[in-house]
Amino acid sequence: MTTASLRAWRFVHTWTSLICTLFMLLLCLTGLPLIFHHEIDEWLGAQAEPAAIQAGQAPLPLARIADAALAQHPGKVMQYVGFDQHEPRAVFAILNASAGAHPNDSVTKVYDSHTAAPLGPPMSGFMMVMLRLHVDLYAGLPGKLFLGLMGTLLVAAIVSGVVLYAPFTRRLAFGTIRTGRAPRTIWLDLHNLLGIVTVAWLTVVGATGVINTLSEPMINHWKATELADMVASQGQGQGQQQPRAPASLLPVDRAVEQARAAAPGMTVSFVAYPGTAFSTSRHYGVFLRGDTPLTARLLQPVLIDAETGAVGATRHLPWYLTALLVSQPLHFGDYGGLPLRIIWALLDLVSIVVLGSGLYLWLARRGRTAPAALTLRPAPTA
Amino acid sequence: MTRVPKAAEGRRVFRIPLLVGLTSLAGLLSALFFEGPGWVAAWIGLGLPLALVAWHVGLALIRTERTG
Repeated sequence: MTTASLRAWRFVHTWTSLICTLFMLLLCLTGLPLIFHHEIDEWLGAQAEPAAIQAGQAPLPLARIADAALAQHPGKVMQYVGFDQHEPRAVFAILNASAGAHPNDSVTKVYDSHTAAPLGPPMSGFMMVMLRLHVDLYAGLPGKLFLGLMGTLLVAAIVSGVVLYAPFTRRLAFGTIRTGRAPRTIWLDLHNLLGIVTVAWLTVVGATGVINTLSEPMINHWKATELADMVASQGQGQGQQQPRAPASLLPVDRAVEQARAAAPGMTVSFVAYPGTAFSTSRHYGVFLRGDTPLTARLLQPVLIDAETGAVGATRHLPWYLTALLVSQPLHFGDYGGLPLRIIWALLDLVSIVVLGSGLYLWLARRGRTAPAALTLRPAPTA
Repeated sequence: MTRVPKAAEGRRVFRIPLLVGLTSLAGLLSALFFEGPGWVAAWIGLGLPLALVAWHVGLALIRTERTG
């Protein structure tokens, strides 16, 4: 590497960081409460706790949950019903004006799986604000893609930061903080130490976050290709044409039974009623998951004819949806118990200091009037 | 001007960061594949960067206390 390329890396690091810093600070700050959303919502009393299970008590059929949800929301229809991976006592129901209505207009409510008692909304208003700010800045798909772009800049800032780490620390033992020197030097050392030890974590969280921003286009692509193929393979309708609606609706629990028989050993994650984005006008879409830590994240769709109960097409998810589902725990940090989530939060706080110190260093350097050659001297020459 | 480091220097500078990075990655993956011991491995692997921060910042604070 030449001195000229070093200067180029510096330029890349400065500008990729500066452009994304404000948004990354927002993502770090909103992500912090999201790590503990369950505990915070419990503390806020946003959701009622499920009743303790009596001995020998079995979960209710899903149809009973759906009935409870429909009774609570007259005029609406069921879109989805499913289970919370972390809270086996909770069943969520998503309702809307019609099966094909837009997700933004849907209502999600949580019910006790054993009593069908309503437990309230899935999250508090505060947590919803944090989530929207974190996911799409209240701007829908363009907001998501914008944050994805910012995440890509973050990854570029990390890579260029690693390249710059060597020239800036070559004369120092690892982790040295030159106390007693100018604040700028102390913050540079802190920036280098905190940045370099969190590189792997922040790269993974940043890259998986970027993958998540693409979830909507990925799901749309899957629906247009794979799901359309699954529908077409049923011999009803040609190509992308939707098959005719069922004359009478098979109970949801029958559809689940059929799907489980077709995919033994798998657990139901959620069921899409006919006519939604994840089913056809004639089929239930039953989404099953595995039981190991990794396969519990992966879904396998099975189409069940909503009139006859016949098992329709089933196939594994394509690689890009597998990547999306595996990237989610790596972004959320919700796959290693409470200690892992505490570590996630602490690493998030360290990242805030890295972002803040980087911004400070840029401002401090701009404020100096010394010639550029002097301000570019990071390591002591003594 | 910042001098471009030699290859040997680069290896020395990156020895600990590389170790921390690989340990973090092993921790990130272990909980994804194994429950129980995998979780503990994740806590240790991702706890290492935090421990290093605490150690070096702690040392710096003690030094400041003594001299200041």
